[in-house]
Amino acid sequence: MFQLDRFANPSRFAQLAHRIAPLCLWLSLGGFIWGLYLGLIASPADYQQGDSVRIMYVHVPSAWLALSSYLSLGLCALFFIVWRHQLADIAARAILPVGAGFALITLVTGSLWGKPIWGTYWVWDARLTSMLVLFMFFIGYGALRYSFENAEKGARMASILALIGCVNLPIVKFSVDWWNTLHQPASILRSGGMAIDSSMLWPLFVMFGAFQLFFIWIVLHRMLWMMAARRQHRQTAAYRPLTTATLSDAEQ
Amino acid sequence: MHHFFILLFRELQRGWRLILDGCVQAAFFLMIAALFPLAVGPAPDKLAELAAALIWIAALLSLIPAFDRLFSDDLRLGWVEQVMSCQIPVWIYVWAKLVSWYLLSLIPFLIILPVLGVMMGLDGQVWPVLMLSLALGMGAILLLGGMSAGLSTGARRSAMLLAILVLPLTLPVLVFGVMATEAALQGLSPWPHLKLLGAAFLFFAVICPPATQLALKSAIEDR
Repeated sequence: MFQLDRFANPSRFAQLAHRIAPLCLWLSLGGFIWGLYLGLIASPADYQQGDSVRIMYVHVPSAWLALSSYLSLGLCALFFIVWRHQLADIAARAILPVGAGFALITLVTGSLWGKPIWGTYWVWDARLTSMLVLFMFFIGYGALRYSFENAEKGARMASILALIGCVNLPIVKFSVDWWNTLHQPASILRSGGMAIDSSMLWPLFVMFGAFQLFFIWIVLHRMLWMMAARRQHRQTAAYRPLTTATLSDAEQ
Repeated sequence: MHHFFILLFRELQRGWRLILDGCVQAAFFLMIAALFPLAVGPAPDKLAELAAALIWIAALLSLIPAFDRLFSDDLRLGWVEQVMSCQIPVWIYVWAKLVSWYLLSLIPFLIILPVLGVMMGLDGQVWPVLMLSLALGMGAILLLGGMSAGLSTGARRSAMLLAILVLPLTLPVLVFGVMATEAALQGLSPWPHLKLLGAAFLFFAVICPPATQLALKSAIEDR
């Protein structure tokens, strides 16, 4: 645990983040180009679904990331409730719109794929509904977090909600196994090996890596930005008497 | 334990004076339920098919507006601080509050439910199942509502916020509750669904009161 403590120091974290973030950005851009080439050009069309299978290379990674962003939101909430560490709260704030965005991308790409394949944009299937609920949890977290006069209190209340909301994660993950519904069951992380050909698996993994790196970059970037904004706010608050004094000096 | 009964007695005494609120809530329930036949159309066979789902949704929606007032009076009057300063764990107070609300809001519901069932043309044989599933489900919804009420105390537009927070969490309760009644309607055993509903209730009974305690303490802390 003391290893984590080391990076919980904001300035040390900022130092490290400044070094890691650009690396993640360039790697993820490279990964997107490579993955899109693999996914859109190099990989074969599905024998049943045709070219629409290629939506998978965006849909599946963003679904994984939507889930893992909620999980990291929950972890940040736990750290914030237990240790009241400001960095955890900043991280949660940075993750929130990103995770909500990934959930939305998952829902939209899924329904675009569903129209040609299932013949409908939306069905009330367990996986789709639980993903929608996950999206609603992101919205609820944001709504709760920003509706208090006292930002600190909003952060605490929203953290409790985020922790409770984690019960939805296993429901989303296993909904396709527990209920026999229209959405196909897991084909990658499942007992009995993968049920997907390697020509499609590779682009999927590359895209997943690119999405993951993009997520790390944008969260670190937002965190650094929020920390800088807070520092600036504090500094202007601290120096206000000084600036008015200098202004009046200039007037004279 | 005896703290719990003292607190429960106090809540029941205070709540009994507010029983009119419970009646208004039951009237609201009846009103929501009455909207469905008007919207869906009055065909009896269609209504009987949907009756369980409609009654469940009406019950869920009519419970939500009341949650806003669950802790607000006690927080304003400093009762929660009193409880805390007596070294009584807040979750005991939360349980007493929820049990008293459960008892008091259940009475008007129980009176109005059979009337509604007859109006919807629901088969008489599924009555016990519907009652049991609603009794369990209302308990679970109340636990979740208590937690959300604790979380949204002091927030702007808290009533709206509360609905957004509670509704996604109540989905399993709604699904299992309706499925139990549907199974009974089709002549199958409702027990698998009722047991799942009971499991959901127990799960929320474990996680919600501590979360409510945490939220109420946060609400008090910076005053």
